[in-house]
Amino acid sequence: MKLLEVRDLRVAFPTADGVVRAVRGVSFSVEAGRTLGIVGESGSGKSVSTQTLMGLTPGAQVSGEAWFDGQDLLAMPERQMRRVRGAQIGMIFQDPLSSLHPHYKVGWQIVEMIREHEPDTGKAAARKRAVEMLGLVGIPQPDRRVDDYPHQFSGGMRQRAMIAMALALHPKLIIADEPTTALDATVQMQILDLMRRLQREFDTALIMITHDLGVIADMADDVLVMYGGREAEVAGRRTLYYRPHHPYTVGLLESVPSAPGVGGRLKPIPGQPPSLINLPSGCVFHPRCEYVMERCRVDEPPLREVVATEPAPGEEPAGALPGGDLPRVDLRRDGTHRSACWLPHTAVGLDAGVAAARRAASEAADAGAGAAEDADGAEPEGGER
Amino acid sequence: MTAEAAQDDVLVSVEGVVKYFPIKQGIVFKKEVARVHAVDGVDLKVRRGETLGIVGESGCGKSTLARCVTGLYPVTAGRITYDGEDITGFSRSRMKAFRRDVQMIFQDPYGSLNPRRRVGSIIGDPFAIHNIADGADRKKRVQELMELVGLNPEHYNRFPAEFSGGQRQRIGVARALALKPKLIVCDEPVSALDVSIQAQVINLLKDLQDELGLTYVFIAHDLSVVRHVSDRIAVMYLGKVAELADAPALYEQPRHPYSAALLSAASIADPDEAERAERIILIGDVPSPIDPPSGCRFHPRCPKAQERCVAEEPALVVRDGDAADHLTACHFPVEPGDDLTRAHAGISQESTAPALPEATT
Amino acid sequence: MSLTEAQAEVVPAGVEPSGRQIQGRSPWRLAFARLRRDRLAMVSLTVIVLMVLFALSAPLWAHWTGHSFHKTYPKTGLDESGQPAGPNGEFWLGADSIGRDVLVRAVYGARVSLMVGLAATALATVFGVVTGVLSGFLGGWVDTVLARFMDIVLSFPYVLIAIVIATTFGASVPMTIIVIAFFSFAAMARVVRGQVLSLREKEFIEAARSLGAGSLRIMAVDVLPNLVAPVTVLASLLVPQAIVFESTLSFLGAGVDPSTPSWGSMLSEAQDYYRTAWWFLFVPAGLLLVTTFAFNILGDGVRDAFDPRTERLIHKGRRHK
Repeated sequence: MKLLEVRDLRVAFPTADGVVRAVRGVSFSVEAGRTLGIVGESGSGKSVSTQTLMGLTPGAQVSGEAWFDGQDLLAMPERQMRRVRGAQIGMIFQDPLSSLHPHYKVGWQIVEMIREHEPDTGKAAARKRAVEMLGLVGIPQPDRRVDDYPHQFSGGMRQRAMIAMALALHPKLIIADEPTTALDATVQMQILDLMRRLQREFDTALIMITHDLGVIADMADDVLVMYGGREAEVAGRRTLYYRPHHPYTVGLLESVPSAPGVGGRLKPIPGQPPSLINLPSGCVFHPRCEYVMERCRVDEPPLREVVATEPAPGEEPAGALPGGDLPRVDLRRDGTHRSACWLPHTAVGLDAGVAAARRAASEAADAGAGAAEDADGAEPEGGER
Repeated sequence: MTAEAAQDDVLVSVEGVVKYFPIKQGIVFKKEVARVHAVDGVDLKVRRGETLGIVGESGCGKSTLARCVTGLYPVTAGRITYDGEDITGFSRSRMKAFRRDVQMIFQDPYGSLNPRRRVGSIIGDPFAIHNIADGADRKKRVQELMELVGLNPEHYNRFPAEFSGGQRQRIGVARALALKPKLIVCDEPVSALDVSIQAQVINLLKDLQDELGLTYVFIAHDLSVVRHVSDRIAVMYLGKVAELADAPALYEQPRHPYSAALLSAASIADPDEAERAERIILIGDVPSPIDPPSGCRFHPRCPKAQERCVAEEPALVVRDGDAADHLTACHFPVEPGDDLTRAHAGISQESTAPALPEATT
Repeated sequence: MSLTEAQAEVVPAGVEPSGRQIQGRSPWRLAFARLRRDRLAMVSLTVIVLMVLFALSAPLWAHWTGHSFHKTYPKTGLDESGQPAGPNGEFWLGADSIGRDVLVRAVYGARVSLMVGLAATALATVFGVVTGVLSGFLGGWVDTVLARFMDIVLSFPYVLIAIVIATTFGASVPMTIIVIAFFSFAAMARVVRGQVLSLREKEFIEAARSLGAGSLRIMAVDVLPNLVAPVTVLASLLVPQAIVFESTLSFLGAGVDPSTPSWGSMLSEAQDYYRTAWWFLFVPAGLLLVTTFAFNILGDGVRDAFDPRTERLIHKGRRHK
């Protein structure tokens, strides 16, 4: 049963310099108790998508549908939206001060929120629940800290307080937008651990938006990789990390310095992220892609299923490429794997063999397409030397 | 990289450096009401040709230390020598000459470039300030620098806003290279950049080091990046060095419990590895550097803390069984086989563990 | 909040992969391009240009009407009962209470008003920027002294002081300019000081220091160019204030000397005649209103052009630590 299903979401912002096409037709869904990770870099549209669902993008031109519990969030009047926001969908942001008002006591803010959505709750009862929530998220001496102001909390404690607030009404879905980006590494650990425990306890669905592939590897069940306002790849967590298809996902995974091979050169993705006002033609990633084909410059690839055949237990997936003893991926558990790329749908994985197969496929496609003169015409500038 | 640099060929020596920032109140007559203990007694040596990584979380004083080394902040106490000369006593003119040798690359690719000036003039600034080249000669040199860092020299007349984050950081690198410095202090040079761009800039910095024989002090909060570029690493916590060691030694066998926790908190972009990892989840936040804890500053969060840690500050010395250049400031260093995830401190600490069952994946 | 991500997309705008666009788009040119798209601002600019042309052509109007601005024409300008004549073939916009040509006086008044407004603003801007930059950038006791001085100037009852000065030193155009500039510079200095205080914390200032630049160079090369936008905006809003200030002083007899026509002194003379000779009051009042209104609208337009939403977002461009 899908808790949230977003279909063909499009968001654009008219600005003085042109229309910023932030999201260009994205679909995704989350089930109860599951975690959807949305990864992308700045400008990928990952935050705008969810902010739009919550009605937090004033001035944007929005189209598409977002079915949550039988209602379309995008068609909802603001008053009804306010009832959903906070009560049924909780939000956690990068900056806790965006949801904690600096001039009111933390406890009072939680109490007010509870009473606004549940008018029958008495003051004392609501306060008791606020203290409980603060204790639940690991704030020491919650009965005393409940009367503190946000500035009396440290960064990590503020993040905990915001999580307590987001969870106070037991929402069915939590959207966490870079919840740990501003935190120190050791505090980030604590918060991620906390979120995992809470999700387990309350069986909440979670959408985790981040640029950090480490956080996703730790937290997500399913992953959506966004680039230039669209899905690049959608897959189960382990499929995505061990059998990526889209060259952008591959590039992202390979450019992370935490990869096992220490010391050697890093493998960056050349070029710069696209301008959403002035998008590249065809596939948005083509100016930075090492396997670019003639077709990629003209046609935008749709999101297609990759490695469609399900392998029998103990058997390698059909179309698996030689050269890798990849960790096994249970396709039945990991769900569908889709990628928006023109490369053959069997070209999944990270090792050199797959890279060679991708290259061969790309060269064969161009040779077939005839003269590929001026192939370097759209070479990105400032790339890796 | 350049591990063959002689052990004692010291370029910069930081000796007992203390930097406090007074917190003042009052409208006309300002009175000091408190002080931030940003750097509180640090000893470090930077060897010629090496990359010294400095890691630590917010408030550990790493950026302040960087600014003391480059002469941007005067020190409250202690000595910093560059090539044997004490920079804290430099005259104005001597300081200006020193600045040609020591450069800095900043964290924020948006804030570190003047938005109202053209790129050519930003990169040409060092030449103008030191009266080295002007007119066509300056333009030529700037364009050479732009080429060196992988920018299109034809973009000489553009403004910073017309470049993306990664390209802007290249502009900052070009500016820092203009005067052919010997030491470059990189203050979180990639932490504001996207993952795919970070690798570009790190590779660039490494190439430049090989080509130009540069010495780097590389500051970051991201352990994976520091590990990748550094020969030696200093881990800082609340104004002090907790551990100083060769990069591989620190990663293989961290001796300070804080280093161990920091290492285990590094993000791992691999689901299986991440599941297997023994994560040490510390309790609490980093305390305020205005009023640091007594004794060992890590004791309120340390899983191995004992009474002695509260009373007595540990010295940064070689601990049993370590190499001669592996220094640790801890009374009870981590031994091989210690399981910090299960350890419990021998003192009472304020717990921040959530009142919820553990989530086992 | 809403566009947190959209910021980054705007950055590489115009950086086409082909890299053909080599000449940088300066913030000035971008602002001017945006201003040109602002209809209302362009109408205001046209009004201001027309007003300046009107003021410059004053001798022509005197020639066309055959009337001098200071001469009275009691025979044609006043009727039998001594009331001023209304608009007619000879007095296009009527005559005033002693038979002078309202049109000719108004056009000469425009010269005084615009000159005083622009000159006082220019003077206030120069002094305000210098004081504000020194105060904000140097800090310490310099800042304490200068900032308190600004506070004192801003808390003066300025009209009263201006009257005292006018009666002591006599009313004249230069004196009016100095008085207005003196009371406007503190507002400018304060804004500039605030801007400099925040600029001083920027990393590019630190970068300049680490390169070995001295304070003077940093103020001139790194601070000043970043003040152009806020100073231009504030100056364009100071002009109408200065014009009104001049009219107020002249109305009270503490401005330019009474023999020089100015919109303020005309209003002062006309106040007893608004029932019988509306034109006498309406012409200077209308011109004053149109001029200050146009300057204000243009000022708003300039502000928007320098600081559109997209650019604000770019400046907020830090994403994570």
